Amino acid sequence: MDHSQIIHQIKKGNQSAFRLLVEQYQAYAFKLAFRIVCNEEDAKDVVQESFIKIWRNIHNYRPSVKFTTWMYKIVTNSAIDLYRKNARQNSISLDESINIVSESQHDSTNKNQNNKELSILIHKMADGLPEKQRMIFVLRDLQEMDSPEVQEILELSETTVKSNLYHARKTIKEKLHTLMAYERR
Amino acid sequence: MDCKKIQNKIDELAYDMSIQLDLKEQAHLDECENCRKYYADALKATKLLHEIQQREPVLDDPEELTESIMKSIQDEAQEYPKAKINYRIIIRVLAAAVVALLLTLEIEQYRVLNKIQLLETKLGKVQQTHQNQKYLINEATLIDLSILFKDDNHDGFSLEKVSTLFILNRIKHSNFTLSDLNRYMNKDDFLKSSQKKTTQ
Repeated sequence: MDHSQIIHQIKKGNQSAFRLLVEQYQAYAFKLAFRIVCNEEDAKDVVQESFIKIWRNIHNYRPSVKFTTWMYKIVTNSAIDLYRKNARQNSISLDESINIVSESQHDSTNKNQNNKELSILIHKMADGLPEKQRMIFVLRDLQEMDSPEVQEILELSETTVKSNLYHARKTIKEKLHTLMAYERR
Repeated sequence: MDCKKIQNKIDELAYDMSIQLDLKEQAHLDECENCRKYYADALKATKLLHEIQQREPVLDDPEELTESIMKSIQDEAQEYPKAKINYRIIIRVLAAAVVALLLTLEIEQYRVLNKIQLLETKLGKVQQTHQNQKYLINEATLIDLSILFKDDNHDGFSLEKVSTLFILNRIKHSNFTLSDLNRYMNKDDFLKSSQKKTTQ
């Protein structure tokens, strides 16, 4: 069954077709959600919630937009909602992140450890960025989406994406420099 | 050579691997300790950034997540459809009601404004006639009109009557009585009757 057939079947209520879709895209959706919420369990919740929304709203999908873009928009919005909810709870010290950086360079075999380290690194790097800059940085530089897709997902103009990405990168670069200078001491 | 300029170029290296320092810039690095340190830090930072970009979050048990999603869908398929249909019907009925209400209000507004405009035009003409003939104001007229608000024996408190009263009160030289006003409300002979009065 090709991609458009799967969507056609899902629109008719075919759960087996929907399972194919979940199996095909849940890993990517998880990576995207994880890089926004920086927590494994939260990312799984976001993926689950997003696929339920996809199932409910599949009739609203119009083929003029790429299906994956439509889907990632749902995942991103769900993740942003959760990120906002959790925003105040996430704060990590510089010392903690330095330790994590050093440890992560030696051992990253364990899956859970990998996710934990990655979570702290992303968190530390993007911490303090305004929400828009953070989302653009995650989608563009970490998730490696192209600029038009980022514009579509976040409903922003090309100029806004460009300027926010510039400022995000500048801030992150300064943070990385600080981290390196701190480590050298 | 300008240190700031070189450092800006070094920053660009982090996001664009195709950018390289030229021979002059490399020579500057050999001489300037500050820029050399900056470059070394930038390389480490770039390495770390690339590492973060390439290290992917790992979904440890994809089958479990798939099953969990499918279970939610199945649960929803059993419970949700009826509610979904009802919800849609309610939304549509509400939308239709809002449209009908807006249309009614628009028509009513148009009708009233149209009448007020018509009345203003006619009263303007009458007022001019009165002024030309130097007719004096009859105080009783305004008293009569003010009664209109309170008088239960007349045909109700309507927006048209309030508007008419408002306009009549603006005319200082008139002798329109309540009966004139009521007659105008019933048929369009207001101008004629008022013109009769002025010629008496």
